[in-house]
Amino acid sequence: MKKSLIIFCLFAFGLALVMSLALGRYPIGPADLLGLAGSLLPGIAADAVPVEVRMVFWNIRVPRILLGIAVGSGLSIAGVVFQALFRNPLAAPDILGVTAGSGFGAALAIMFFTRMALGVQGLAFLFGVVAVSIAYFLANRSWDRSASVLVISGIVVSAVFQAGVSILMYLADPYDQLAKIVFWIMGSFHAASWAKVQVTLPVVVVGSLLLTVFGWRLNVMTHNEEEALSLGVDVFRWRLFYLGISTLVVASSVAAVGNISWIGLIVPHIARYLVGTEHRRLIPVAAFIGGGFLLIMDTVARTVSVSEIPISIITSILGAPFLGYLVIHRGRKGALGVGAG
Amino acid sequence: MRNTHIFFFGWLACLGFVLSAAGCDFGRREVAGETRIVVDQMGRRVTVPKNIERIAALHHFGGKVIFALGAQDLLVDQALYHHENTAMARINPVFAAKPKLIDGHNLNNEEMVALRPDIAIAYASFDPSEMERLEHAGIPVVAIRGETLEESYAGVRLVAKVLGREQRGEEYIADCRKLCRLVTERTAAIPRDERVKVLFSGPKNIYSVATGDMLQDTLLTMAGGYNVASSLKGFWATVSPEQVASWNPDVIFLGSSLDTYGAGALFDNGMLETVNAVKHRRVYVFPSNIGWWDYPAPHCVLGLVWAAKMLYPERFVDIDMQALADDFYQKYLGYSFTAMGGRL
Repeated sequence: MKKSLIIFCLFAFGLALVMSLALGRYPIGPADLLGLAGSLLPGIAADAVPVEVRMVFWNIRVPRILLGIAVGSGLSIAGVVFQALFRNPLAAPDILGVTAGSGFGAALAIMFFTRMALGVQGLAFLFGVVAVSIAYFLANRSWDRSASVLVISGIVVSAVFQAGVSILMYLADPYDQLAKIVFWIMGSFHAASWAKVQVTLPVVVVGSLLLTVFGWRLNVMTHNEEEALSLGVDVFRWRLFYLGISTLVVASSVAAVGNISWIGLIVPHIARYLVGTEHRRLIPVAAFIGGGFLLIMDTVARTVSVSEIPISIITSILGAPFLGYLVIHRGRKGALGVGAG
Repeated sequence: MRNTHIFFFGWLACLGFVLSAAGCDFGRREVAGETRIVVDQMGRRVTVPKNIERIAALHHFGGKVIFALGAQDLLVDQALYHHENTAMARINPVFAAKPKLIDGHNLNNEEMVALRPDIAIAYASFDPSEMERLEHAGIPVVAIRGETLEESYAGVRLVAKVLGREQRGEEYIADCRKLCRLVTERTAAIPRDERVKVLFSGPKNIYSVATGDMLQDTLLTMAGGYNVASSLKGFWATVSPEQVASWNPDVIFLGSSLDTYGAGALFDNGMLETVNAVKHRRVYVFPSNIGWWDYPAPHCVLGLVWAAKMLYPERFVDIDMQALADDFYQKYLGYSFTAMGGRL
């Protein structure tokens, strides 16, 4: 990887981080920001900053930023993994039904388990994992063990859970529960709190690290099964490993902030156009780009107007043209699995 | 080969039959008996029978107006919705025995026609093609709207005229106006910078707030408050937690008796701990447990009195909200608020 590219990525990410820390609907001036930064150093008291400013900064802005970076990176890494496993540039992390499963879990919790602490998030996570597991075992029972059967079982499972969501929405109290279910499914970062960060971050960070460390094996997985098997790679065991870890990452992301599907599809492409298809480079770059990208988008969503703009609108409007630009200008680097490097 | 031919011609014959049937106009059933023409609140000219004995109300506003006009015996459906429906069904077996035409979802057209109402009262937000279908089936549809208090009074007048109960309608409107005056006499003079800053949160979550376009904004202003989100447009706008912190409202009203978040959830929410309303524990769930007081319909005047009393308790010490609600409910719903299981 070119040094200039690494420096550029780090610089862009750092800039996005500083901007997002400084911007928001609650006015926090440069002096207060410096004070807040200073209070992290030992020996400097935080008293210089008004207590309101401190609470808004630490309890609202910082957890939201952390969650944005974590979810963006996690979904992007999972996107890279899924596109490699299915050898399909259109495979998004929700292809095996994790989003539909999580939606069902969340709707179930909104309707029946309202008193449970973290009930919505917990059930969304659980059902996301359950959906993918069903898809996996369904495909496993087939005589055909190729990845395309997994895709079909994913479609089956998604359809069933989506029907489940529709049934729950039909049964829901239309005056408040229904609105809540629809709102949850749309996805948003507003409810980012430390409690959410505490349960989401460990799964996403550990999962992402594991996928990064074992990313080298994906280079072989992008070939077809026979080729990989002839190289002595136990394709099916590795597939289970990658699917398991990325499902945990995606399910905990979706459970925390709802469905933000665009990121997992587009960021792997952007990363691939920048550094090619060698997965040891691709995965960390995708993580960086995904984290930074979602961070910027969410900063726009929460800053530009008094009312929040739904995050999926911004990711589509700003993300899609950027991918289009890359398609035209970096076309030679190729798409999936060809022209590696 | 012959089988294929038979199949083909059979198929063609079926298609021809269906197409010719579709081309026919089976016409509309005309409204029987003596009629007259009224203009509803969507500007539609509707021919309604003079003598109305069976009414279907397809929205809670229309249902409440029918009750307020004392015409509930003419209703063919329950016509009250949500908690209000449950409360009424508990206390009134005749009501409980009637069918529900809309249970928050879609209207069952065939069941509606089978009930043979002389007229249906719909809300202006209804799908116009649905109204047309009903009119084709011989049921005139009068659409009403009450997004502002004045508009809701006009809705009451329209329904009263259709039912020939104008005097009762004026009485109802006069009672609502009296309650409004009771509040505005004590709050209108409060200058802008002394008004209590209020945030009105909606059904989705704490951060979906009532905008300046909504009835809630009018209620808050009349109650002597200042809606911090009044500059926003549209219907239930979503704002960021930082925006709420920056507005720093003194009071937060929660729009309905929500179960996934109530006042308690706000007090435990670290993101809101800088907000005055949370610091001083001034977060209130808008009444009531047996039907909304913050929805478009003249009943919202009860919500107005309640809100004013919550914002300025010292100015409304003499007002016994429960007793006031009891009287209003007794007169315009047939049972007292307390008897229906109402709590503030």
